[in-house]
Amino acid sequence: MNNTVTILCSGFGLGFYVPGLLMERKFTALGIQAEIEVFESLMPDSKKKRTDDNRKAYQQSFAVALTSQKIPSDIRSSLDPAAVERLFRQWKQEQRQHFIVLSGHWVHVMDRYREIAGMPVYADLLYIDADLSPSWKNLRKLNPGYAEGYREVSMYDPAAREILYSIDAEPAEPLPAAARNGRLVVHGGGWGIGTFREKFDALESAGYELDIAAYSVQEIGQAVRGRRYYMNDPQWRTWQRDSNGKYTFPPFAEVTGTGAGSFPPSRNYQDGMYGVIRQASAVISKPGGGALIDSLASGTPLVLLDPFGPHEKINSDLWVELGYGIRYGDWAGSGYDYDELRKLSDNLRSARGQYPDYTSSYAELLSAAEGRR
Amino acid sequence: MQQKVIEIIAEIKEEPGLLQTLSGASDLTLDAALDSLQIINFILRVEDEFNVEVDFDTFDLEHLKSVDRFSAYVAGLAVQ
Repeated sequence: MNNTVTILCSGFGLGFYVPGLLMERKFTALGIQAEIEVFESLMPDSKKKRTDDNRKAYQQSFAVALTSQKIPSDIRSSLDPAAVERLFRQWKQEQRQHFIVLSGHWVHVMDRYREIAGMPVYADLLYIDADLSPSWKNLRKLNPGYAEGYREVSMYDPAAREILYSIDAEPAEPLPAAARNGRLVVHGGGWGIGTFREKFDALESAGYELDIAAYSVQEIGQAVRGRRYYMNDPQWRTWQRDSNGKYTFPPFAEVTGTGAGSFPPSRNYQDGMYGVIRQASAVISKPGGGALIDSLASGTPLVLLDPFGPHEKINSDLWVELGYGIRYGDWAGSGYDYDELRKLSDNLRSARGQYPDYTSSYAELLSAAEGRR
Repeated sequence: MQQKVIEIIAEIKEEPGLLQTLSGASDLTLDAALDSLQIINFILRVEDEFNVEVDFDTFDLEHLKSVDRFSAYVAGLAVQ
């Protein structure tokens, strides 16, 4: 038997990828072997290129991005059967039994693996948004009973206005509001989508200095006093492994309009944008699942922009109801009041330790199951 | 509506010849060869043209199997 936990991520957005890396780190710290797989690694190059093309189109138009969620798709047609078979051979050889699934796309693969594994297979379907995101909705449309035989785990219960699980990120202790730098981080999630670019001028007119996520050097204009740009390496892709065969956090650097220099590897999560976020007074972004995880882990409140689909609308409502975020329009209505941010930050700090870490809970269940065998 | 849908497809594909070759029976992904991004832009144009909103819960890949099926779906949205 093999106790390795295989974490099945997706490169569709960093929100379905980074949490997997954080879990892998935590499992390792707990003495449990964990391996990551990224769904796009099972796609032929032509389909990966299409994913890239779509990302560019979504960056250029939020309407296009939103409309993409209205059109059902069957991801099975994007799989490379040979790559799937190679993965199955490896898993069978290594007797992989324990899985955590972050994207509905992977369930098609897991269904097949359960049939051929020749041993019991245990998989958590981990919902990192407060409602089903597109991969899960597409799966449900194709197979309404998709969850049968799996353990469904929700990080949030929006009806009860509760957070059921958190995902730890190091360093563990968030900074108090008074120790933060007063700056605002403005980003569009892993893919750079949403309305964030429209807000720069108003935020700066209100007296804030900005740390902005750029997604290409071209979008960095003339230098503006107090404004900094940061970027993940635009050549990096979630499905690329490093020279050690490991998946990594995106290489990251501060950039200027004169061109991007080098992007050093991010050995730890805080070497990337998270390190900027944890020092800031707030993050202005769409309410993606990754943004919620960052907010809770770093104690940084969210100023919530337009959601990318119905699931992010529920994320947004939850964060407002919990007192961890404020809708952008409401905050603008307050005159961009700093005290509003401080209150939200205090709420997040007060909630510290209230929510069980999913990875630690999983590890306890795994140990208990081993004890029974 | 069928003719307008075909016009929008030809516009998205930038292929005026499709006005002659497509019919009500034409498949939007096979015959018209709309790729995923073109389908998105097609839906955006249709929503604008017919003042409707396509919804994930009611829209199905089957609706792309022919211009007629798609037109009937949009007509159904328009009367709601």
